[in-house]
Amino acid sequence: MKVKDMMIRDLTSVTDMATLKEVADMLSYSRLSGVPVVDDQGKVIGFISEKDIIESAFPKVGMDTDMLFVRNWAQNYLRLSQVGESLVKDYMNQNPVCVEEDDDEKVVKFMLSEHKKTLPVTRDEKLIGVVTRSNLCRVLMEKSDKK
Amino acid sequence: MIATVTLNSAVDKIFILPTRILEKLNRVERGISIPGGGGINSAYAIQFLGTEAIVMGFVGGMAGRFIEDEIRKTQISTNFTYIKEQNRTDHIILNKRGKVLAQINEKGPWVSSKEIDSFIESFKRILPRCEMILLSGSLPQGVSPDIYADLITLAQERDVRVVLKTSKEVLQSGIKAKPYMVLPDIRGTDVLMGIKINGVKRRVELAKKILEQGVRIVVQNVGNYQLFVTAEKAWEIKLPEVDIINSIGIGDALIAGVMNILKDREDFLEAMRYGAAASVASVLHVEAKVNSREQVEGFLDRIEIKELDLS
Repeated sequence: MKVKDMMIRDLTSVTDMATLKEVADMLSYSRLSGVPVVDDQGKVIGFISEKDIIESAFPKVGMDTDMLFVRNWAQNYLRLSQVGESLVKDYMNQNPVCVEEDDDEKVVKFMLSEHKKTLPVTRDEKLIGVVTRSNLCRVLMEKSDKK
Repeated sequence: MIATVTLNSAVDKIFILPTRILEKLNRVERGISIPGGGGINSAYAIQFLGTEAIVMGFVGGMAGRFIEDEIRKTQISTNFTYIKEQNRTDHIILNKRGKVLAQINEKGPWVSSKEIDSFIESFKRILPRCEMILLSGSLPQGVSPDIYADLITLAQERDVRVVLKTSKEVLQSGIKAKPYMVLPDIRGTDVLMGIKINGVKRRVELAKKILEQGVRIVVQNVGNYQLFVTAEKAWEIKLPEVDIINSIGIGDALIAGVMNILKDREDFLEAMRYGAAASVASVLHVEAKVNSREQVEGFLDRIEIKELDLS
């Protein structure tokens, strides 16, 4: 199985000048955990995830930390409203791992070992879709149904 | 790659009724829901004819999710702009012979200026990858009738040819930006640009009036025949008779077939033949969409093309 068999051909993306609030709105509707960041030619230059957004509001608080950091919701809301206007370029991963259509199922191993929920798929460095864990599950189940 | 823009995409609910008594309780014999809107219909045909298609526009609410999810099941790429309001639902009621008994189209969602700006940014980013762009259909609320003219200008700055298929004032505004090809949507209107539209002669006259504004090609779909008009020549294309299941996507398939050839070369006769064959293939399915290249190519030899005497 190749990446082209398990990818979603969706080009949902943002530029590095988008705000974190715009990304949060987009993630909320699109049910994605993160989106590629592209330049004006569609070339992938970064990746911004829900984790990046949360960490922008609570620096140095990892997703695995206990929930003590959320005890003061008033302060948290204030902090979130402040970072909402921050720009993607300041919080994105600037070295995202991208895969290509003809890459094989080693991509799956990589996603699992590196805890990646979404990987951009590129052709000539330009975004042509994404591989997501949820779509991967769907494709695998469909394959097993056909057997 | 061809990008198709459907700013007012819809969930099309198609019902087939055994009778035409609309005033009473009707039991639907068959009903389906599919993603609809001109550009989306064309994208299906473009993709099945072998060219990569990408659909753009606005999606919101449960209807928007349905549209996006259904398209993602195909090989068509999506690049939608998410909006707060929900996409429209259109109801199309057919009889068993494919005749449209009633079509009830909602206006469409309200789109904010910020959402429009976001779409335009996505549109700019897709242009460098495209050989051609299709702008198709009506506009949702909140969108200026001049938006197609603005998008055409942006595409021309990148040397990307644009095809425009829409109606009324949106059409007239778009034509002023000189798109490469136009299919005027004349459903629900008898007069366009001051010309009463009836018969081949009047339709060619309408086409000439559009061409005068700097458009290269005008195509028209008129039931069992189609017209293809340039500044130099005009052709009438006769379609073979088939058992029609649903004809609402015939113009969208025509555009797709024509674009699929013209994106590579200006071979007008081949473009007309593919456009007509795709049109015929589209009416054979209740979904009104082309779903097989082989089926389209099976009709190519049955298309009759006649050059019209313009003197």
